[in-house]
Amino acid sequence: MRFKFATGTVALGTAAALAFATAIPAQAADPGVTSNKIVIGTTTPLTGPAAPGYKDIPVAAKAYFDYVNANGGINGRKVDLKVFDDQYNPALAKKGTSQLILRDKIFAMYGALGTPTHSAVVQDLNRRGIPDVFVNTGGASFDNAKKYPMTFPYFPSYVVESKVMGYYMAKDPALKSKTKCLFYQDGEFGDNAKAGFKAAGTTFATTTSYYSGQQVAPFSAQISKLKSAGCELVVFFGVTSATAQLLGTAAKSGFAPTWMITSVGSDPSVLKGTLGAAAGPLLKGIYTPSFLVPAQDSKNAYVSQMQVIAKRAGLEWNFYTYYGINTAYVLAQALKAAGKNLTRKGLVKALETNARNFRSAAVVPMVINSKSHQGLTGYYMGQYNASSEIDRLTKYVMVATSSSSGKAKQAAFRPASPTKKLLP
Amino acid sequence: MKLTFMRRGVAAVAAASLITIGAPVVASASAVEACAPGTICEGALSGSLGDSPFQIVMPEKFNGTVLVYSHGYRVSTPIPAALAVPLGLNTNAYKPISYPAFAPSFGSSVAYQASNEADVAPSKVVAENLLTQGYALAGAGYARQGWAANEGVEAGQNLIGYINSGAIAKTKKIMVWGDSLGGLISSTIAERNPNKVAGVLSSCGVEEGPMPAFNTAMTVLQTWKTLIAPNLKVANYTAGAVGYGEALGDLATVLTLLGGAATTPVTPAGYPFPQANLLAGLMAGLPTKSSVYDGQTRNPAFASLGTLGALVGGFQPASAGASSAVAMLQNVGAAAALGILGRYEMEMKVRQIGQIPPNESANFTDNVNVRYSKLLSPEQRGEFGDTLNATTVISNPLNAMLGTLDSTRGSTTARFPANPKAVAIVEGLAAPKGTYKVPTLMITTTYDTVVPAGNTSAFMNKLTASYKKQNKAKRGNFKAAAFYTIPPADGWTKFDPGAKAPNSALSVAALGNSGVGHCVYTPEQTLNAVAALSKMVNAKSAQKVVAAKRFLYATPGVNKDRLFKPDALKQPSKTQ
Repeated sequence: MRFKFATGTVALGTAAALAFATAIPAQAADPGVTSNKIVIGTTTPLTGPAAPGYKDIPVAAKAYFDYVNANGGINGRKVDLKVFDDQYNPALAKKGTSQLILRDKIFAMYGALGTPTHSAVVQDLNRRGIPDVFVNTGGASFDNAKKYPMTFPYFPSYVVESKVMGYYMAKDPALKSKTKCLFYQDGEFGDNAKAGFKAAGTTFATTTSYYSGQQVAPFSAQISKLKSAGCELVVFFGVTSATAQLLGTAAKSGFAPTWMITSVGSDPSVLKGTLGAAAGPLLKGIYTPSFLVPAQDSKNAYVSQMQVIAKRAGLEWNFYTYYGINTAYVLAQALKAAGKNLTRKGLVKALETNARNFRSAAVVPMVINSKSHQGLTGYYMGQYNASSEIDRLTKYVMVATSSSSGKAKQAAFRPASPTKKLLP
Repeated sequence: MKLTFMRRGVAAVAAASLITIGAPVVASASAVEACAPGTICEGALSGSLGDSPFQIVMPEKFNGTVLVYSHGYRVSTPIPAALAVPLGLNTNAYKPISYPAFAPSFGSSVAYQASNEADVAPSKVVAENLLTQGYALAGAGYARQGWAANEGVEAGQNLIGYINSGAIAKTKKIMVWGDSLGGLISSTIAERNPNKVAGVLSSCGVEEGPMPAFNTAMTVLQTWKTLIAPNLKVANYTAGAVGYGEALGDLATVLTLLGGAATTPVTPAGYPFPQANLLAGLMAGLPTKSSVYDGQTRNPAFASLGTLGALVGGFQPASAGASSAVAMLQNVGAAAALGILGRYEMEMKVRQIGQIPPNESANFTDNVNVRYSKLLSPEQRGEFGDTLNATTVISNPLNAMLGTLDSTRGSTTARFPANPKAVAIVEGLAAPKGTYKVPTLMITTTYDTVVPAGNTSAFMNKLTASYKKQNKAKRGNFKAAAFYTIPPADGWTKFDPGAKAPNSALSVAALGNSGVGHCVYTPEQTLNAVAALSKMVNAKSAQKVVAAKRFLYATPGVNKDRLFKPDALKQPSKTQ
């Protein structure tokens, strides 16, 4: 009896220890991850002056995640995207980010949009160790893996873009001898552009600028300056609403140089909406860099499949819908690569080690590793056609870094085919 | 320690914060008689730095705990009424006096002079509630005003000694607390007297000492001198009355320009006013929210009339950034007051202590090699870049302003070299080192317009590091925590229908005394902070310590986010 009793005690103790051990997982789960769900969040303008165009991105991403969820999710988990409307207001972005972290317990931030808005929260996200994936801004300050180890830009920085523009202008026979001028938005946007052009060795006959918000009135003074300087090629680094104001003001004053416009100021759907019937002739021939397969290229496997997803969700097909589905697709691949035991550290590792294997509609290389979180590294040169669509002008792409030194260089890049049914 | 005292009846308790001390009655130190329940006992304790009045207010039923309170900064010099009123110095701690010398320059001989009265709590309502709970309240005035850290510490320590010598019978424990400079004083007292002090509550405490505080002011004023008002003297004021005139002149210049900012888009130096002032505040680390402007809400007219229509109509603010810019106009006034009058007082103190002759500088904050462009963090540049550039007064405004500021780097005439002797004196003034010795609780507004909340987080980091270095077997539970009050998340700037600017009174009411301003709390926040400290002091286990923290986290307006950290203090010396 005594022996039996003792054995019973040992057995009981072992069972208790096992029960205790199983109550605590080998690795405590990060917030936002359960056995069947991953919660991610984003802040973006859904209302207010900045909403046109941008508001379509999270809706499209949600449509893609719904599609993935309907097909079994990612490693058995469904993705739940929480969207906070920050109205492009930094104070609201702070509030929304806080709400997403504290109330919604997000696993990661995804696709937060805007330099002013994201600047207000980027330090906090990094301090808390929350992955901050595919930030929707080209502000070069976010391309800093040392300072922001949790932050991952997606599209190429404005420095990269201006280096690419500089490279192309120096190479293209039709452009290289033209009198070049620069019109930029004051602030980090314009500072990035100037840094890139300086690195590219591009010189301008004159420069002029506007401040964010000034585009509610015509750019008369700036156009006058450009005109009197004899500008034959004007590079414009501003947002799309300013592009519309610029083209409208220039047309009215009879100023018709060759235009080259930054990608973030070139959205055809917004320009067509603002310029109306004048859009076609005003836009035709304008140069603009791009990094995705042209949105109207329905023969492309990425574009056609994404169009199907958009159509099933009842979404209008435009650049932002396309972009939203595309980045959601890349994030889904990263989440899958992070494995079944999903952790924040695991996602960062997956991004840093697998980025080159991720499929997407981007036609330029993606660089993410432990030392660089650059994301997409370059552009091809595009040009508006008569239908106000952007055609791909160069077969090659041009790549560069966000550093204030070093020029762009030509690169050959052949994107891999999409995964089966565009699932991760 | 020499003692003087007087005694007052219980009827005065309700008016504790309004009491004016009469001529004290002299008594000997040996004649310590316990202050009776329900009475106020007053007197003065003399120390090496001078006499300090004290006040003890006893509850009807004493719970055994004495709260020793240290008040905040009081300007040492008379302030003309024309400046004192906008600065909010016409409070109970300041008495109106006649100062004929002010009449020619300020239109009136009425001035306000700080008294050395003791306070026992930050407000009457808080004092009354604590007395109801059975706490005995005590507080000391300081022998001198201004940055009276040494005087405050001596006064507090003498008062504790007096209490322990029998002035309050049946004392079981003493906890110290204070606001602003009083927070620094309380923390110093606690750190130096761990065997006499059971716990410390520092509220909006300037815990990191005078140097960061005056560096904040120097950043604001150097920017102002460069981009706004070149005639400012800023530092190294002439000794004596002449220097006081210079300081008052500086303050009047700042307040006059701030008052006219709405109609003055270009500064006397030729820069855009709101942008230059916003830049000054951002580089100094001042908050971009004020009691009226939440840095978030734009005038509803922009939604109803459209951007162009509202701009043409003169409606403001136009954006979150514009709201921040106007908030900074409010906030810089407070920073300038400390930066000018406080600096004058400190320089005179330094001259006296160090016997610095009139022909030598008494400046103690060196900015000769500061790179101001580095004080604007990349995150601030990203968040406020559009606002800082939103002007046509000059081209490429942000870069132009930063370039102008940095262009004087290295100049000992355009900048302000410090006198090492003055630096050593200021660095030697009483301040806590951040060594963890007694239970410590700190509370501050997230958007403190005078003492940035970074003071609290920096001091908390020191306490944590100190605790971690202590012997694990002996150190016990870590009883220290920092709390931050927050304003309403949805904003508090309120507009009357069709109004071109916010309604200040409605906005301040919507803010509700939480999260914005210097030492602005709801009574509940203050009382719960005291209660949480008491719970923390009494906690016998780690779980009880957590429970004490949870109690305060549950208070309305206290940030429940345990991982929240305010912006770190700016460090101009690290930009060099």
